[in-house]
Amino acid sequence: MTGTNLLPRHRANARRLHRCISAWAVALCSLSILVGAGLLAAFATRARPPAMPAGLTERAESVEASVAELHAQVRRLEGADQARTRASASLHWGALLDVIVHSAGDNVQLHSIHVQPRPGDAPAWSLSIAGNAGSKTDAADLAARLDATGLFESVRHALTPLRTPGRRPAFAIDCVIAPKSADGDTP
Amino acid sequence: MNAVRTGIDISPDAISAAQVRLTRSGWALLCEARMARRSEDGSVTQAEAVELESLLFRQGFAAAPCVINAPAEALKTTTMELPPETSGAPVEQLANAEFAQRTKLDPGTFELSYWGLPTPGPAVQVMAVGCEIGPTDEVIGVLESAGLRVAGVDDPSRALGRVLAGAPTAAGVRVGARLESWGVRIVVLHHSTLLYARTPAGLRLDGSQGDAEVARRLATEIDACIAFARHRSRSHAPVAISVLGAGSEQAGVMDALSGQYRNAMAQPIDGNGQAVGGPLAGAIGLALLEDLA
Repeated sequence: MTGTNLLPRHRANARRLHRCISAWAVALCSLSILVGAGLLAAFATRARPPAMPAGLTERAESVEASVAELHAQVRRLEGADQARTRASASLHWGALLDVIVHSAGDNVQLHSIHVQPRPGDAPAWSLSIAGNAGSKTDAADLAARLDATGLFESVRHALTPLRTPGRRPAFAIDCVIAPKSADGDTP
Repeated sequence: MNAVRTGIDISPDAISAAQVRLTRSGWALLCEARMARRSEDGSVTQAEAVELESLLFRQGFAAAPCVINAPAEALKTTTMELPPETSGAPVEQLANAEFAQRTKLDPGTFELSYWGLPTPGPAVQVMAVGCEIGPTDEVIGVLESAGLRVAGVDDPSRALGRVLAGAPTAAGVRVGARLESWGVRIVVLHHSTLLYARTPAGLRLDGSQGDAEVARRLATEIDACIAFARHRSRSHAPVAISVLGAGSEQAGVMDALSGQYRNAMAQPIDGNGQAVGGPLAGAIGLALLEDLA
């Protein structure tokens, strides 16, 4: 059949306008949905660090605990060292006598041990040991052993001309005792 | 394709509605409804529109654009001569001016539709249908306020012609008569072009006349239309005759016409090969309008 729609023109135009607006709204909604879906997809698939292997977390925690324990041990040792440093500022007489007697041996006979402080800012003492030995070598060995203990800043020995009735040579050893610094060096 | 349309045929005694789906093979009827008119003056009232919308909903009509028939008082038909399209003349403006002059309507107060008629000479003769905007707009406003979406208005004669185009015949001339209680509408098609439409006075199916008398008078009108169509088309091609509307269900009328026209009788069918229900022909023809806004 021929012929066109007899709908009044203003109503036809209004319907066309309404259809255009509806199509535009649908297109806008579709575009919004697509953009939203794209953003969600991008967010869901974005790069992220690889997942830790199973058990690695526990291992890392144990290592951290070990490191913390080592730190605590270092702090304890540092505290002990500082305490030792502080303690070395005063002589431990009992220990000093033990070292001397132990170093003397059977062939050395000690007659006297004198300890007197040395003048100065830092605390220091002079140790004088006198006695007689079975031979000159025994006296020298005693001085060497004392020096080898590391307790003394300097060890110097000398033989005296006097001889005991048993013809045993007499000797004298002068030592200097000075406390060690915190880093282990002598002042 | 697969568009769904609703045709609403508003006649003086009833409102018929048909929903069709346009398919590749033609069309298929989806739903139908019919309600009696309550208005006394023939205009569509708000109550009728609401009742119609409710009826369509209950009958399972889908939300689809509706096509209504133009009110009878708003329609005017005439034939005019226009210059050919190839002349470069503003044919549409000339057609509007010529139609306004012939019908004495103010330009801009009507919507015009026209189509060419078969003519032997170089002049272009057209059949023009004008629809006054005022009364049509009033009906549309009432229907749309009830929730219906009107996307098209058409001449009921053209709607009838669309249904007739589906008649299974190779006849070059088709005559269709819609016989109702309020009157008769006769349309004549040459192939698919509407040549002529006529509403004879005093011929109706209201029981005041017997079936035989109605058939005799209708046959006289049909013969006159056939003679006009043959004169107009300069052709003696075979003729197919269809009777639609309530008259197609009147056995007395149909028997008398079948006895007179015999093999020329051809009832239209839908896309599935089913015969079109006579009372729904008007609504179905409206629903087949393709030029929707």
